[in-house]
Amino acid sequence: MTRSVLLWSTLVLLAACSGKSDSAAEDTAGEGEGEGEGEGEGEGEGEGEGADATLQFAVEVDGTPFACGQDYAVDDSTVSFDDLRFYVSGVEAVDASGATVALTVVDDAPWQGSGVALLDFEDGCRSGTAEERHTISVSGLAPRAWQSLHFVIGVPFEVNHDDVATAPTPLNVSSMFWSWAAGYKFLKIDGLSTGLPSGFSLHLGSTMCEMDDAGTVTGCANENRVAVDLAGGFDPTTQTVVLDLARMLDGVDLDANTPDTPAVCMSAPSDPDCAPLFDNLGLPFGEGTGGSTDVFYVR
Amino acid sequence: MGRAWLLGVVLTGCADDPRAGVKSTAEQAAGFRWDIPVGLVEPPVPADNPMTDAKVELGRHLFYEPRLSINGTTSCGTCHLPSLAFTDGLANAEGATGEVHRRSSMSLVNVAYNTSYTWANNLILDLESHALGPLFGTDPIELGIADLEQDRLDELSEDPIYEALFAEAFPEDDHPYTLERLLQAVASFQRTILVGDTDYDRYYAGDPGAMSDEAKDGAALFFSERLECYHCHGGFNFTDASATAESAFIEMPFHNNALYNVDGEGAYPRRDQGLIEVTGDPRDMGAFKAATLRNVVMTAPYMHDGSVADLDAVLDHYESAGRTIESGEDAGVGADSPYKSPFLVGFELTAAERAAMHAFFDAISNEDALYDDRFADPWGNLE
Repeated sequence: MTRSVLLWSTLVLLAACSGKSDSAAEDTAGEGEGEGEGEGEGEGEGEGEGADATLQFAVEVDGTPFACGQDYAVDDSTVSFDDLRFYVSGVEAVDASGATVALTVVDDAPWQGSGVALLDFEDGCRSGTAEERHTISVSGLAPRAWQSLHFVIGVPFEVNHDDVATAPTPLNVSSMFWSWAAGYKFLKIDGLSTGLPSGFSLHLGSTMCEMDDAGTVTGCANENRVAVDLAGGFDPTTQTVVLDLARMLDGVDLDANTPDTPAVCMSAPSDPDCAPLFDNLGLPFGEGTGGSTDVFYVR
Repeated sequence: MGRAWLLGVVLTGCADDPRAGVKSTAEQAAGFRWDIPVGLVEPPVPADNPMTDAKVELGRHLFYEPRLSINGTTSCGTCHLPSLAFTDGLANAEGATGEVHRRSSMSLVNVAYNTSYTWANNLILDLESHALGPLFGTDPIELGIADLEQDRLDELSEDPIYEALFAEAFPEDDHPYTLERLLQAVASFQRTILVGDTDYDRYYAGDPGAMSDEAKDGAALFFSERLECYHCHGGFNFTDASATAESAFIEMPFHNNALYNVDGEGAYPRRDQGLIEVTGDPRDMGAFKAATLRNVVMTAPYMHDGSVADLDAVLDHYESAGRTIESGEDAGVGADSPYKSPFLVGFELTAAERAAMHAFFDAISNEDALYDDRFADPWGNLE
């Protein structure tokens, strides 16, 4: 506690030094109390041990709040979603001096552990689970204005290929594991549309992974982790990180599917339906080289 | 934090490695004795899931347990029927909700020896992790209990039969009703599905009258450089993708056997292109695992997609060194595929030779063994 507080102060005072201070994130024990957050209906919202801030997340479709099972007009189609879950890791904030502070995703079972947070916006309206979670408890984020917030949609490689049957929560969620690729779905969106009434899926995860002779995954040619960079200021006490599905799905045809491929995209490099989704997420795909993504914004 | 994860991976790498810690019989949990049929040897067992009779018995109940499906209709045994050498007789398997699988149910005969699982995946190395696919997969839904497994396990925990079975299988656990224990028990049961003691096995074990002359002729053809069958279907388990408890080196071979060539450049139909889907390596186009040929007379239809109806059609396929499909969207000349295995050389069988091949297929099959009570559905739902 003392050390990280000192460190923040130092960073603020010595703005010009702007050294990256990963060490701040390691000082989780005994952090001060976080801001309480009283609302939520059946939503997980616990402050984990040592948390000093709560990042608020929301999902909307072009300004309309997301709700499981609700119909949305998207292009010429009517679309509804029955699953929307994703893993967040690698949370960092940049302070006024430009210094990057790695934040700790604190242990907060069942939603957070192993440095990973599971966000869940479905309430089991058709399948899935009743519980929801729209927040991430972190330590290392003092309650003041920050220049920008970074995070990753995905499970870090170091824990992405563990055994789902024995992994600690939140990495033991069976619907988020991809047994064929020996890793997790980083993002899982399922729904129905006018053109695909029996359902579509948008599943993101690492593909083309390799194992060594000992059965340990050594790497994946397509990591497919989404790096989100929210510049322009962020105040964790008042602001919310918003995922706009309209931006994510811009150009993604949810009414049609290339025959003999998963409907609509399960990250297969050979599935052309994935191209616009990957492009929107800033991920390389086919000819696309990837870049940044604007599917999240701060409100 | 990152360093801590790395350290954890390194430290647990050995224990998690399904292929590293094979235990000899002497080291298995006390009291377990393999019943190894003639012609087979002891299979590998993961160090963290030693065989016990109690786990096998629990696993048999769970294998045939329809409550482990989304709608209570389907169990592992639905698609893996003992009476069909643990296949289902269908070209394409059907899941609990009626969704049709692009692939055909694989035989579980001698499944314990496999070095990889499913038709084409080099990342699934043991039965414990394999079962996650049928339990939780959604494309298609097979058993369909993603997110539901704990509810179902809790339900089973209230059944006195399971109360006793779980307690005996995992006596050290306060609460054994977990996914990990489920997977371990089902895998333990599957490892006991050992089928040998065929005419062929008894002949090679020293009984000269066990195999007919016709079957011996078939064996000679099978193991000849003229037919080349044995390169991929060789070894005691008639597949090159096998390992035993004593294996020092593990191989995971996959082969393109020229079923398709839809673009003239070797492409398989997009619905299923085999190992390339996992590796992304163009050389893995159309590459699938060679299935065991033990009890092959019971496992029709054949190939990963069940697209070859019977053993005569299989022989036709290899005679022509690849399949030619004249019309439709799968049209193409498999024999011209640049990816096809070099062991598809083509040959022509006389009628007598073809009959000898069938006699050989019979001689490597032991149908009676499948009716062993140890493999039977304890609930009486299935044959």
